[in-house]
Amino acid sequence: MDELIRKAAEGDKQAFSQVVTEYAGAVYNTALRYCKNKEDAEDVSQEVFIKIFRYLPSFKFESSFKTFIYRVTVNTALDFLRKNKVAHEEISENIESAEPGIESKIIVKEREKAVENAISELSEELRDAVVLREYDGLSYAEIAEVLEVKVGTIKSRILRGREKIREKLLSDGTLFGEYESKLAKEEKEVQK
Amino acid sequence: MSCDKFELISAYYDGELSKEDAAAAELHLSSCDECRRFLADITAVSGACTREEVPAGFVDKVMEKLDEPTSLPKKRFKLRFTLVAALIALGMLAASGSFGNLFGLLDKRAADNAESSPYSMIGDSGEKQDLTLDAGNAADGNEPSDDQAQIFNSSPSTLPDVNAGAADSIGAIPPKGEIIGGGTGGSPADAAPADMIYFKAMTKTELLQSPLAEFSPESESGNVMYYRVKTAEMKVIGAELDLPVGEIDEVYGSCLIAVEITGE
Repeated sequence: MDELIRKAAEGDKQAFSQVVTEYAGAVYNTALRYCKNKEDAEDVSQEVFIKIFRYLPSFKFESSFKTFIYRVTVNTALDFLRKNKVAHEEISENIESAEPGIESKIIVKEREKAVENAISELSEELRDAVVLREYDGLSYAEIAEVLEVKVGTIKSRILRGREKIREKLLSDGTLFGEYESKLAKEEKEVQK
Repeated sequence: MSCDKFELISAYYDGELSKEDAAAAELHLSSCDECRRFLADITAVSGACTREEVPAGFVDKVMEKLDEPTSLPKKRFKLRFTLVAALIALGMLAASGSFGNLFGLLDKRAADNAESSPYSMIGDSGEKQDLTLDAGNAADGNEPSDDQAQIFNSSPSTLPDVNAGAADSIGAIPPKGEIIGGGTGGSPADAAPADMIYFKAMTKTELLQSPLAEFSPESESGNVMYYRVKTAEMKVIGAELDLPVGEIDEVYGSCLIAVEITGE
């Protein structure tokens, strides 16, 4: 990947196209957690890659490209939110497009939606850490690099974010007896 | 009631613990119902954090946009306006002699070049750079609007002097998105990119009484200290320092303030 990035930094668009392909999912999904609207997330993601292409010539390989790209994504998405003061629209099309009659699928989608909404209600600093952890699977050290804070701070922000999400989901009934269900499942498997 | 081991369990779930700490977490889990419930809940939440497919044709759309000229004229105007405001402020400082020492540090090549266009400046390497300090916009070739030109021409009695002095000063300002060059500006060669770079002249006493007293300089060169400030914090700190912070374009998440110490 480093070689591709170097080529892209020299203006090789073919190489940059491969970089975009590699990171499109990460950038788009991160943007989606902020924009809460697929069209806006796509616009933000495109802007991210245009910025990345422009700034690539000055990218020094002393830091991780992955954290660099996430940093640009988070900053661009936050900037978009501030400029547009986006009223958080709920992403409902997923549920609507789920196959009718498949109840379990709908329950899963409802939970996904509830989690997204709970995350969107977090403060900016908690949301940044939770999104990068839960959707992008970044390590605490990587998140700390992206957000330019200490690893200990990230650990604590992720915990606080999780506690708030959990509290919200328990209060609205989205989470209910996870542990008990898990125990019951394990018991069934043992019986089998 | 929450168990006080939730942070341990959360980090355990994320695989962020050492072997010893992970063993301690497992031991605790074996005896704490509250933590087992917490672990089951955060596992369920994580499971609901699914990723969406990237829209079809996304990569092609990005590649097409790369060929389009940039479409951010408003932002360019604002950034330029910010810089012009900074130039005027620098000119006033220069007129009062506050920047005398700083000018001595800088390459005189800048003064000659500054006369050729108010939209150019000279970097340490001698090449012209866009006054917006935006490396991305510099290449788009857009001409300044009449409004922009008017601003540049609005202080004919001041600007020639400003250019002579401030262009020297600006010559040391690294362009946004590029590594700060060493050269005559004496800036650190390995500095990270910054959203915006500001100049501020003040005495030692003023510095100690300013919000920057809480910060350690990232580097220093002669009597110029470089402070790195997070962009979010810059909006507060910069305002207190009377710097034009209204239009920071956040990309890197930090700004650089070059403070010239003008005396005790």
